[in-house]
Amino acid sequence: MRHKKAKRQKKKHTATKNRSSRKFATSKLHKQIILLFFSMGFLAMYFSLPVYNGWLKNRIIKFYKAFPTEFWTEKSIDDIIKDRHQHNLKFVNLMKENLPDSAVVLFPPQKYVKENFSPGVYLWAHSVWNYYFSGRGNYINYRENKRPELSRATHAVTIAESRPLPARLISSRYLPNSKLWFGPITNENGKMVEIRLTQLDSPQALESVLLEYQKPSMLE
Amino acid sequence: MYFLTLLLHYTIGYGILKRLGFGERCWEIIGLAFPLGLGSATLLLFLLEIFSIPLTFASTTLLSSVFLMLLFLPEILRIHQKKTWKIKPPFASMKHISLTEWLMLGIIAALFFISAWRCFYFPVKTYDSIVGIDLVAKYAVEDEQFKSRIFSELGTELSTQPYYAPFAAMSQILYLLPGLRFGKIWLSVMFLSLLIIFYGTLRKDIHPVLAGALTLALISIPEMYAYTYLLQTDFANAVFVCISLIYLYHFIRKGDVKYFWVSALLFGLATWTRSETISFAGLTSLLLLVFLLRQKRARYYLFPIIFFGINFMLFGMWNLYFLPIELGYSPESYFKVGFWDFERLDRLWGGMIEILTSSRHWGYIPYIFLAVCAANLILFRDQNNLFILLWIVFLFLGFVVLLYHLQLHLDANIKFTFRRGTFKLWPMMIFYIGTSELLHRFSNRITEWEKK
Repeated sequence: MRHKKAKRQKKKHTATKNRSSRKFATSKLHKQIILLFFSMGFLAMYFSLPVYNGWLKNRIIKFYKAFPTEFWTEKSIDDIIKDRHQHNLKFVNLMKENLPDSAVVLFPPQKYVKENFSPGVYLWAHSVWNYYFSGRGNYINYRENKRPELSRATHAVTIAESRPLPARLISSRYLPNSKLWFGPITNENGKMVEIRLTQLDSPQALESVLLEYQKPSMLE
Repeated sequence: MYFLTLLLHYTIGYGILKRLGFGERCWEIIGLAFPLGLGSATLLLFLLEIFSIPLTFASTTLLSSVFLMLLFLPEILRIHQKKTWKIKPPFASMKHISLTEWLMLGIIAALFFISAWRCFYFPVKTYDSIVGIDLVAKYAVEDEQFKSRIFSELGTELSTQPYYAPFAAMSQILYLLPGLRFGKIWLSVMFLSLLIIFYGTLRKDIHPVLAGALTLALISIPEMYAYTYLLQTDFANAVFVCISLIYLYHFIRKGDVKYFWVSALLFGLATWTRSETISFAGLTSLLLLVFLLRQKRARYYLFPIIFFGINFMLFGMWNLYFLPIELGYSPESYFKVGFWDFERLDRLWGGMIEILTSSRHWGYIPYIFLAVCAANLILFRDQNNLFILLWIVFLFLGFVVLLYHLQLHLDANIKFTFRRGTFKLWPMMIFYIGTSELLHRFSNRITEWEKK
């Protein structure tokens, strides 16, 4: 009799336990789903905020779109580097290929390149940048405080607005002994510009180049 | 081969952690091992350079392997005892990863993937790296020595960039040597380490959904995210500093010495990454001393000196020995002290505040931080994470003093040095939010609601 009662009680207890744990599990799953929806809502709201929305579009989604093309197209390392640096690298290679090893090139201040040529493509006019890609050390950056060193330069880079021949003759921005090195191209300001290489065969030639570097932007 | 290098650095880090007494939580080991391992490998590379041993894949791997064997010497000697190492697998303490947590982790992983891919696939692009870190690394690999021909051939054409503290350049060398095309994948692994430690630490104390949301806030800081794949010294520096501070915070709260050692080593490596970190190491040591005095833990009173000592040793190796003696360069010429210029200070302060409050760069983190900070201090009078808050304030004031005395172009200092220097601030601001009373209460509410 006692045995039967205990068995009945045990059965009852197990049933209660099963029922409550099922109830608990159901409620937990229910809450998990609520939390999941809440989190999805939070994420949607978070990425709709202007700053994060712009970031997500321009920095993440754009690259997820580009990923398959970049991944499956077998690009060489050189191509990847060229794509990345574009004109800044093109100029470095042009310089390396077209100038003799003995040439020492003077680069203008970066402000001059940004204002006269392109605010976006200016890194090429930097001696160390050229060294990184070409391994050649015969470039000098213009700096006011190192004038004596500048006399080593055999060539200098200047920038001029591209004009027809008669106008060039009267323009003070076309230096004697200078020749077209790159261009003409339309720059980011919509002006036709060209990069010129001036041979520094006398101290006067260097002085006129240094004067040119101080002149205000011709493209405004 | 670079997988081997990666594995070697992880194992060195694991060896260091084992010697310090870590070894319970797998996520913690994965997160801490790489920064420690890579940092140690750069120090070994420095050793090779000092003894004029050519920097090749063979020499660096051999020395790292010898160091690794030394680290595991006790285990090697005890190998006959067949002792098993007790490590809990990742998420062992998390019996159950909920749907919501998977969602958060999935989003974080998706955001991390693009950063890692861009880091691996695209070449070095930043101007500062091309005329600095990567230039040094590229020609060091060619010449098989750190003091390569660039220092003699370029001479005065070089600006300050090639003389930056050497961690980033040396890491580049270590990953260019095995033939990795652009080297910089180590930066992604550092980023992963920060995410793991950040999420894992917060996950221990607050609800996983909140930990996930805060990690998402960290990964989606627009300006900082960009530097997770652009090669610079600042992000690596921020990773070292932030993980170090998280463990110093643990040390202050729990008093476990192993947390102090890992923190001191990581902060030292931060100084090895950016030299100006030495001033923040000084501030951190001071803050540590104040907290130890407050808690009356007399047996640890020497720890702030040890903390600063480790930092100073690494600072000195580069700035007092290698730069002036080996490279003939004096960095102190850029500093001027003992002058008063109100206009300069005013311009500096205004510029710094403008940078700090720029939502274009940092999202809404500064504003959320200020709100949580106000609630935490005014409503709850919470002092649990006061260390983190004071450190954030000290860092900002430290930058004011530093940039005021640095005689390089002020606007460039604000725009570049300070902007990128604040990378250390944002993870700590989010960590402050995550450890605040406000968030703990909110987290408890969610947990209680879930359990009901």
